[in-house]
Amino acid sequence: MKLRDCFAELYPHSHEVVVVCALGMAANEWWEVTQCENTFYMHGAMGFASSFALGIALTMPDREVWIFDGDGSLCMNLGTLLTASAQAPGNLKHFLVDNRCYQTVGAVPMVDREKSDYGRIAEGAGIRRVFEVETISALAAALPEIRQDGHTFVALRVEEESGPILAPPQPYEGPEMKYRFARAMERRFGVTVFNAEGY
Amino acid sequence: MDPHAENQSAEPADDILAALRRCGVSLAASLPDDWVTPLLRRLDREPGIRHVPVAREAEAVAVASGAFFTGARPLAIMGATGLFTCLGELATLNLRHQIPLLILASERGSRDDHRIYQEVQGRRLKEVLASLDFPHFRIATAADVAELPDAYTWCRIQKRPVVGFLTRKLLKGATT
Repeated sequence: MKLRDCFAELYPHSHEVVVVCALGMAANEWWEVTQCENTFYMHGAMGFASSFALGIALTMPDREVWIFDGDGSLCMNLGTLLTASAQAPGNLKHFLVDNRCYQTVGAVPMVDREKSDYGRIAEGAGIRRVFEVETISALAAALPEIRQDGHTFVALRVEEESGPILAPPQPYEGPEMKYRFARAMERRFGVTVFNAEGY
Repeated sequence: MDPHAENQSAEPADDILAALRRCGVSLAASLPDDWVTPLLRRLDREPGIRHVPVAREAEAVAVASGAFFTGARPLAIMGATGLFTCLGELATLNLRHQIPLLILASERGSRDDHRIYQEVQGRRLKEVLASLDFPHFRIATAADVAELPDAYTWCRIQKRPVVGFLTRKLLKGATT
């Protein structure tokens, strides 16, 4: 299963969803597939996009929040599973890009290439709704259940790709990312991020 | 004599929570050290503020930063040692994306902190913050606590991390 195909399957269902992408393959491929400007593409803080998404989910509990996390990112912040599990945000769906390598730096193998099981790690953190998906048809079939209320972890078992950087990142950088995303949140959901003077 | 001492309540955590209410804070992400623990326990009893305990301080940075985008009024609370551990995330998330974040941190390693394992934090942390262009200020008296709403607004204008250091005397009194 290719990540790009996963995203093509998921994107049509995301129009009422807040989407956050971890840096690297998740961000680059989601942008490549969707060109979506409503998404937050994190540029740094590797490992902490899931915590960022948790902050959104907790303060906007009536909206579904999807985080597309990398397995390299997750391994830099496994504690995110404990923290999110304790908060139990029913609107947070944690999708993991599980390819066991650091794709954007040349598909360098991760330390856990053979032995670890992310689904069981999530279960061990106390997350009860855990899905492991290996085909697009299985993803399509599981999606209605994934989107039911309840904190959910989904491991997307995707293929390692051959190139180091498969898609260009979105063509705007840090501050512009902030303002595009925040204005999209205001426009889409009626929240007020900035005051009358714009800060 | 501290001219503001007579205005300070017996429980500094109560004063700080009252100031955070005036800031409009709606979410506080935290990881304790022994100085800020009473404040966090008090926070757990505060109905208007969602308290999010985390497993690592950088999570608190990211949780609060995400909450900013929903119109929430977030804050992070941690020890100075924990602040040292998340400088990279503060630089590559908050500085890079210009996301404001007010952090309340214990002023460990101060002259009245006689824990040897806090010495380096006291000696170097403020200089490191200055090198990253992160403003910081001390919260030592009731008057300083009362000015937290100004600090919160100033942080929003600054669009970067701003650290308020809670002193030992404020949090723990004059005892050593």
